Amino acid sequence: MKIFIYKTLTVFVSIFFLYHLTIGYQIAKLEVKIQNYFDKDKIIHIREKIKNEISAGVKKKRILSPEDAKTLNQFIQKISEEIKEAN
Amino acid sequence: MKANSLFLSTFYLIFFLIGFLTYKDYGIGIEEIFQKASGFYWLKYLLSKIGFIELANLSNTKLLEVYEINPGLPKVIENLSYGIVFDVPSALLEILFNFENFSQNIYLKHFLSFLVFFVSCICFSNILIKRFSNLYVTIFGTLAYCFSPKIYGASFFDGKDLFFLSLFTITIYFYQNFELKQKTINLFIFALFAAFLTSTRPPGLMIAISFLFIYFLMFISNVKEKNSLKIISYFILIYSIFLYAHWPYLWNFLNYNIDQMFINANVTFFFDGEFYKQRSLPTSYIPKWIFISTPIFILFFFIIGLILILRRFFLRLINIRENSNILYKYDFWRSTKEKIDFFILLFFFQTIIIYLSFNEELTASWRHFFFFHFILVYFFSFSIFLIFSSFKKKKVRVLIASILFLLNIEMFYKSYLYHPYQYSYFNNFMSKKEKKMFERDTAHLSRLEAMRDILRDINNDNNNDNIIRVGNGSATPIADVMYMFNEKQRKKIILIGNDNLQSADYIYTNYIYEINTRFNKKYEIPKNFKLYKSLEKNDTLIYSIYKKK
Repeated sequence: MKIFIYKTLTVFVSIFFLYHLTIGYQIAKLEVKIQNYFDKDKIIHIREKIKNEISAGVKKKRILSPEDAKTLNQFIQKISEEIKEAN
Repeated sequence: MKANSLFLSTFYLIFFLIGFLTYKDYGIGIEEIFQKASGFYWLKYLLSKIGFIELANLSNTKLLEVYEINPGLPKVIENLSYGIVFDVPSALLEILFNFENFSQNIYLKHFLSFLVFFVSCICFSNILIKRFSNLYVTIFGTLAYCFSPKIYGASFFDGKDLFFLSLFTITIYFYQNFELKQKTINLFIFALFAAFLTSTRPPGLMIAISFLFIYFLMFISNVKEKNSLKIISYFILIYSIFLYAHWPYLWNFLNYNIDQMFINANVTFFFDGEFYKQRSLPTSYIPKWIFISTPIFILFFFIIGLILILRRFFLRLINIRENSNILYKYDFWRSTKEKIDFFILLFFFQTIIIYLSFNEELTASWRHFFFFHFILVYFFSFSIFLIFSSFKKKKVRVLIASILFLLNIEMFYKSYLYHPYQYSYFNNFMSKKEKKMFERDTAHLSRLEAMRDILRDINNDNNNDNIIRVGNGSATPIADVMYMFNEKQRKKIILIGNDNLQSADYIYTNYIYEINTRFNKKYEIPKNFKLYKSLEKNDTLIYSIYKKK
């Protein structure tokens, strides 16, 4: 009986530590990465940066180079034709 | 024995004098005002329950005063994890002494907090004397327990986690007393303190669990011994009665939301050069904090002691046989002294289990795990004991003692250098640059000294009769500490918080933030400010004050 109790306790404690040192540790590491990646301050900072870039772009005389404008125009036209065809 | 008592009486006297002469040097800890509120809240509750209505009303007035000082203070009922063992007696003392001055009440609490730590130091040396009966172990163990800078610094203002450590030590002292003399009165006192410990902080349950586990092991090692079952039942009965009798939280248990015991604001901590959310701290958080803020020699001998104790434990574990009690009565210990070691080892295992299972409730630095200091110093003492026992030559013993003495001198010197910011101590592993990668003034002690600096500067500037606007470049609340000054001084300063730092005359920062300052510029010091003063203790930057150009 005594040996059974000791063995059971040892197995449970070992599983706990083994889990936390291996899978649990990796999960916790990943969790830390994800949580800190989607940090509120970071998201607000990125949003502000995008806003600033857009308003800076609006103030410019030209946003796209003539070549880029031409390529984009062709691309949009192609997509619009394909959508029409589907209808 | 004579040398032991001579050393201890001299040491206690010096230690008490140092504490008595310096307890007013420390600022206000971040939780002190809330603890004041908690003390008055529960005192009012208890007094009204037993019919002392006038005193209960006085407590209520004091409670309202606290919320007048700091209207943003959290409600006591929403923070039930705060026990009453320190807060209520100190609130009662505050009423009895009836100091008019806010600062005198704060200093009273500081002195009380130090006094409890002082008692725990006496208990700790008694534990060492009874366990090791070795003069060197008593000397170096007691010094390490009392003067480890971070712990010593916290003993003056931390009525929560440091108080828990003190109570933890006192409870183990009573446990040892019970083991040495198994009298009902000793079990009674031990159960009383175990109950106090549980109500102070949930990890206090560890002591009750370890005790029950040990007696369970005794029972299964030696089934004929029915005394273990008797002790288990007595302990459970006395412990439960005491716990229920002194913890108002249990009286109305069903009406409280247990989740309220475990709430946090998920603020941001700066740790190892990175910002982390409170609920997603890396696993290395507490081990690293302990590793960098405990003197290296304590860590070194702790690791040796831990390895030796673990080795003994595993050897005993693999050698257990069904009938091994023919040779030895119990499986994991051969004597009462070894039983105490095993009891402490159980705390070590439980601490790891608690840390791995509930690490979402951590705060800045390792103060929630201050009780681990007991385990650290106990294993430190264990390894010192084995080292002194293995060297029989007097010359070698004197040499080892001299080395340890020098290491202690270095520890005192560091404590002196950091005074009164021992709480921000970093050991010699850390360079000046590395220290800046961690939060330093996590107890927010510096705000009082910073306000004194600003007031001094205003007074020196004789032409300046204007009211000065002080901005806050950190997450540290300043409003509380203003009550440490007289009304005339208070009226000279307007605190503008951190909304419009441009309009301030001075900006104070202790570099503690609740946000990620790499992306959020809320606390950025405006360009029209110059550094007026920076306080560094042993290359550890504590706080800075900026003044408008």
